[in-house]
Amino acid sequence: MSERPLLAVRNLTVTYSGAPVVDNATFDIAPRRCLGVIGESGAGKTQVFMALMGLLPPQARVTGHAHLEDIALLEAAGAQVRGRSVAMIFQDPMTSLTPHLRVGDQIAEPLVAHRGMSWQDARVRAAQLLEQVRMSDVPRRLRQYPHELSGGMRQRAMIAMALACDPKLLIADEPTTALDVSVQAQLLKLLLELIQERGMALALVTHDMGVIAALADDVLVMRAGKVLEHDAVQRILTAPAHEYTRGLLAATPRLTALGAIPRAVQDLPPPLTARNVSVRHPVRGGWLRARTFAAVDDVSFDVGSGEALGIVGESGCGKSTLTRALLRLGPASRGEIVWLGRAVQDLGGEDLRRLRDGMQVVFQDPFASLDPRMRISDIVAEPLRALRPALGAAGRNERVARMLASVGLTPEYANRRGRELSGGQCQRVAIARAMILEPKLLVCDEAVSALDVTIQAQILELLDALKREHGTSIVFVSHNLAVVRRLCERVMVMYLGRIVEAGATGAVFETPRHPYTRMLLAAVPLLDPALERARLAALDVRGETPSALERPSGCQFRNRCPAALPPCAATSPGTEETGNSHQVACLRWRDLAN
Amino acid sequence: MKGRMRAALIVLVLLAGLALAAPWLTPYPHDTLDWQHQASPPSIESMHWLGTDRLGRDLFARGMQAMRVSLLIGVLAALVSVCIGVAWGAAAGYVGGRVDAAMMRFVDIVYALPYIFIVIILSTLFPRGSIAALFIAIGAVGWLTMARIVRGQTLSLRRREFVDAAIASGVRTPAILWRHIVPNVAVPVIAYATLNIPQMILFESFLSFLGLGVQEPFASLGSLISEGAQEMESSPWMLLVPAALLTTLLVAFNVLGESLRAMLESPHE
Repeated sequence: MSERPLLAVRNLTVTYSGAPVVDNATFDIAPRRCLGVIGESGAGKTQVFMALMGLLPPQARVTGHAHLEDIALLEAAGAQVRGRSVAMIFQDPMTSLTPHLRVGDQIAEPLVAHRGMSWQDARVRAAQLLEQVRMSDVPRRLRQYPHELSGGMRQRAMIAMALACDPKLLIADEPTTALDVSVQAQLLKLLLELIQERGMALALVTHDMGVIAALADDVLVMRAGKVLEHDAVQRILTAPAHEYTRGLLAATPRLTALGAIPRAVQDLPPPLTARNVSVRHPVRGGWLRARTFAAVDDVSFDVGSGEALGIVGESGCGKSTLTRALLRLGPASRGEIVWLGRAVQDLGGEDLRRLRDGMQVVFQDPFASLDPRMRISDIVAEPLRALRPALGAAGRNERVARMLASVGLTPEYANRRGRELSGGQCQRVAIARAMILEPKLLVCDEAVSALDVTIQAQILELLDALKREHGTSIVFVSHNLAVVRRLCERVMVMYLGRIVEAGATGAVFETPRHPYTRMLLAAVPLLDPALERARLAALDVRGETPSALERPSGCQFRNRCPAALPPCAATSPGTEETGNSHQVACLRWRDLAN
Repeated sequence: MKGRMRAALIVLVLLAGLALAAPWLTPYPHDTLDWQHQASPPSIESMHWLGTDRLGRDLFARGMQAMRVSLLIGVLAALVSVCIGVAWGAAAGYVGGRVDAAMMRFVDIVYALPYIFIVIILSTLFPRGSIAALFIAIGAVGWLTMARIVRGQTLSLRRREFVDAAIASGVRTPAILWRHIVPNVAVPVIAYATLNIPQMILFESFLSFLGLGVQEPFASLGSLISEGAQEMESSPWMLLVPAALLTTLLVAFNVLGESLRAMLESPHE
């Protein structure tokens, strides 16, 4: 740390009409090092770097000093600094790329504009940059448009653009938050290598302790605009000084933690059984050709009462489509879904409406799932109005009040509207609405994914209590394996619409049998910097989930599978029992088990 | 933006107040002939502040009576078109599929017909000069655009999770439309309806100008302009007075509607 800092920030304060969102932040970043900035939503971590880049809206007031080597950042005109000494990448690469420009031209454009290169040279340089960010199939990518790339490839293209002018400092704002775990792992590895290769400094803004462990050398912990703690990553993750940091760490779910333990086998028939469920979507073919693809393909499972079944998999694996089929919200499905002895698919009209009584849902986006024009009490009362009309207004109000209290909301929230609440509070309202009919099954579609870790922990606690105290069955869809470990007794791993592995959560996570499950587990960041970096260095995660339209023949995972052999291309693996109701669909699981 | 909106509102309230209070402000009723002052220019002494027409009727009284008709028709026709348009558009957008296709093709077909033609046919079905016929005729074509707007909004609302959540809560379809869709399309509907009023007024004036609308002894701004245009060279005030009233009314409504729309469309409310 004796080196002269690349970036020195002193007493940086950002206020909006008198209210500080960044309060007196002071820190340095040395060359070749990574500063992680962690905090929950509203901590002001993004505001710090927007201020340094000169990207804040005009009503923001910025005071303090910031020097990048000899440039005074706060005084310099933003454009002088942006894209030259400092570059920035954002969470959502789709919104940062211009949709109608080819990727190659998009990277080349600033080189022509700022460096006076000819278009021809700039295109060559663009190709080199894409090679440097380990983009596959570079010549083709150069000619493609942003929407033709996957999320991970778009983020690579963004990094290539950021690198185009050889910045000394790269600011990455939640660079992997929108990506699947396996893609996240690949990008973290790339960023780690780029810091070393190019001698660049990295400022990393994130809410994820795992990402911090992977990349950061020093960590800044922020809350409500204030820097609470600034220390080396090892100390922050093992012996944090501040209580808030300890709370954050404790709330972060871990894969290794002891999770829910399956109960003794019940002789009662399970309330929900699904047999050979498929959901097909029509696709507009090329020339008058009607095609369909299976978003969910031949899936069978049971959910016992008081049991939580986790469904995990990366985006596009069909997990949300499956839950919508269970709830009869989505397109018609084939196969058989039996709920309390009745086949669900053929129900219609009033029968279908009554079915809702026992089956409720909590969606991912807490803001989108509440009607913005309704008061909280009306939102929670809506299922009662619809399905318990005999209750009357007084009875409804009383139940709503009790329900709000049980999800930890005080009565004063009843008259507010969704947008006046935080994300966590909105999600509690959504859970209250789902629980007010005392359903036997609660379907949670990424219900905690959009929440900060401390709130996530509270919601998981609430779900756990429902399961234990009311015997509610839960179908819990998530891409976060650690959360599933914490809540679910059993887990089902999906890949391109099929189940590749299923069983007790402990068994699946500790002795995964399918190469895909292993890959997913290996891609989850560890909370120990040394272990995490060793893991990234050794990481062998290939490719990304292909589109369900380009399903490979035979075993559909074979083109990403490290253990694939020629027979895998020929035969589609059936589901096999590995013992103790642990099932796997892999031709080679026996060879791989040892 | 706020200032313009306030100005437009003030102008509208003043005009409406003046139109309503007119019978008490002038000694002359709108349909009585003043034999001493025929086609006389505006004057203070005779109390014909805006002059008289060819037959000696007070132009102030006639103009204000015409404005009452225009405002009434404008507001009521806009209301009719909001009611039909919202119900039609929300149902089509929410139910979707073939029902949607059929309902919206119907709108397209009516759109494709020359609508003046429809109005002329409709107005012949009713006794000449019936204001009810005018409401129905104007409202019947005015709802088409409203239905398209509401359908578009409903399509995007339909995909929002709170609608799925309501379905999953067991709420019946009509209740979802009424409690979730309609309140959430209310904002663009109000803005569009405000812009719709001046169109309706203009349309009514146009019909009256052609002689199809309001009949004597009642006047509408359109029929006054039509009469005034014939005397334009000898007594220009007969044209200028109703034309100025109509223009002010239209500009005020358009400014109000545009500012409402701009306010609602901007991300920061």
